[in-house]
Amino acid sequence: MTIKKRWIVIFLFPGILLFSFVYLASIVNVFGTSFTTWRITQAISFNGVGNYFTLFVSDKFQKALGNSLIWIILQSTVHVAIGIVFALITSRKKWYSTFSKTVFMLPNILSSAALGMLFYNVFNPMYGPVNKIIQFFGNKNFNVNWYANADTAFFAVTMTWLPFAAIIAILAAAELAAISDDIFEAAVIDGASEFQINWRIKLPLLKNAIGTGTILAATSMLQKMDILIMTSNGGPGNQTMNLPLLIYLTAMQDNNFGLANACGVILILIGLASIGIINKIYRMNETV
Amino acid sequence: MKRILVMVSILLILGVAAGFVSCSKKQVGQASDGSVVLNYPHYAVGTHLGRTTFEAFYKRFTEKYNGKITLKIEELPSDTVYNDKMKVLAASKELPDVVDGKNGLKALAIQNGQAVNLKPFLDQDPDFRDKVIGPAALAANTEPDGKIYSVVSGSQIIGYYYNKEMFQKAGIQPARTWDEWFSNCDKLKASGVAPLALMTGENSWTTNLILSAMVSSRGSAGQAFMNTKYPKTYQTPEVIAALGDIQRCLQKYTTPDALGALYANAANNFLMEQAAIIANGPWMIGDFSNLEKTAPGFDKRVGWSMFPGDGLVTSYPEGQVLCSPPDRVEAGWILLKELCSREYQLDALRLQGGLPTAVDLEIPEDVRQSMPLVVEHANSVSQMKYHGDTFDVVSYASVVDAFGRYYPELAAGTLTPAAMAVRLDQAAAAAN
Repeated sequence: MTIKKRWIVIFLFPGILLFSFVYLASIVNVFGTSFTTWRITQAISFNGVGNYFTLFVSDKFQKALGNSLIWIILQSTVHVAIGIVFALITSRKKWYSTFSKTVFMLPNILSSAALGMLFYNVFNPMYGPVNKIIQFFGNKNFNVNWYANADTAFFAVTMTWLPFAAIIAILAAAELAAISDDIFEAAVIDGASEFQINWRIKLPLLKNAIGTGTILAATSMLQKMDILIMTSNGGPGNQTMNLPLLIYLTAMQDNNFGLANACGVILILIGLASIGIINKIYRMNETV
Repeated sequence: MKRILVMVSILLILGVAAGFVSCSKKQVGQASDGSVVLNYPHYAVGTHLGRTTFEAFYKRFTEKYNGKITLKIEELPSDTVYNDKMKVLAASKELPDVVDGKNGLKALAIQNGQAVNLKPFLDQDPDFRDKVIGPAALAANTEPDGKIYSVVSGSQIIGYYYNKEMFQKAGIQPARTWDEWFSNCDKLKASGVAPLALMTGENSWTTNLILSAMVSSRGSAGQAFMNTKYPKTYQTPEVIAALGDIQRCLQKYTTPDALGALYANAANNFLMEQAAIIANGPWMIGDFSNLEKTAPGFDKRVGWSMFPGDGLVTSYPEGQVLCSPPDRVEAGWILLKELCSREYQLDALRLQGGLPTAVDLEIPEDVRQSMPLVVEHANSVSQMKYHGDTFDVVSYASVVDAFGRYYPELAAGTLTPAAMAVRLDQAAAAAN
């Protein structure tokens, strides 16, 4: 072994050890036990694909899977678009840029549990500002219990994360700052409008930032649980159920670790598929 | 490259093995001063109602057993966190010395073999068994085979609190029948107030107390249902009819935020005089004079009543489960006894309105003066004509969750009471 290679091994070792111990061992464990009947305090027994069959015929799982996929798509498109547009607007360095960036960042600073409680109160039908504003500007009798109404719960839950794309905006802003001003000056001299500069120059150059942001946005939807518990708890019925919450309830409420881990395997596969598809769409390994 | 991979693999295996070895090391139950160390995680912290009672207990215990027993306290921020952590520990047979057996934890401790049968200990201490715990509380936690895996030092006697001023304005008295209950609700509504402070978030506590009374008031079958743990089916005429009554309450007689509301919202609606009735236990009495939560003089405007037809929701929760290994079991038993002692029960009564189980414990004069409603609770048992347990005790956690999950659909009319009973059965099946 050359000295160089030895150093590579030494430097990689802590990271690999940590990954193996914390993640790899867990993933192997989750995958293995997903083929077993395993409840708390009971002996583990192999049951083949029984857990997967149970999941796929379950209404609750179908709803959770569907919701998770819809939220991934929404987050990968609308949420990312909001962040990119915000970055393009604030990159003009006008008087409102610094203030807007600060305000836009606030929801990302708060813990998601606190954010959940905040939104729970914002949408509260008795004293929440949302209903009060609607009553003030129009319908005096307007009274919707946003998180408990089957028609509005999905929208209300989605609004707790969809518009707050500060991380995407920061990624895009950093990428924009790295682009040489010469390119924009040349475009202006050639008579390009602001829209054309944004559409034909900035956006193509932001491809990698948008791709990275999309991966972050999509995979964040595979982790959302605390904010759901604080607002709708997956209800009414299973209207706003998602996979992480279903895993939690299956493991900690039904004591069914085997079934929860089968659901966990599906969650991991969806995560890997999302990353693969997004990489393919944005051709992130190719230069612009 | 091969050599590098082999080297990395060996190092990884050694590292992971070292990790497992360090994780599997059992805690030695002995402190440096030679005292026995007992693990006791709990959640009576922060704003929890039982915090002051626990603090008084801890001070008393550490003074009394200094040098003999050291308590290794772990504070967990909520009972949900406690429950989740205990379940994980139950799975690996590492439950602490004494565990609160609620939410199915007692059953898990029995299943994993850690729960200690307390009967021999109790038989050696008849004063503690017969007077401090008492026959009724003991019977509630005795298994069919005669073994006793937990003891409880507090009883729940639950009716409902009502706003006397609102009742007066509506021209009504506490209902004697369920028909009168609904008639009262109509009159309260007509007088411009929300009759009931209901909630369907968390464990649907204030709603399910009324549901429990509605079920147990429906003859012997209803009462049997509400006093049987883990019922085989919720599709009984009594439950379906009671769900129909609750549907009516949720649709017509509660606050706009009841669906999805947390306990804090329901309590706030009653304390801020937005609703006339709340079903709850005596631990709420302290809130009626707490100026941080309500207006001055509110406690004078609160009355208490049994449910229509002289019914109560009564419960002896699981209480404390002893899970100490044989080398610490004696010390564990001492801790468990102190957690159920007369002093502890008296503190719980004074500080959080907890009703004691001790048969020889008189309600002190200062408590009679400061919390007269507690006396009403205690005296009501002799007039009780029917009673049922709480759904939290008789049902699996998944069923309690299902109530809150499907109540909004029941209220919206998209789910019939009979269909909701089917959903409850499905939730119960998931827990098996």
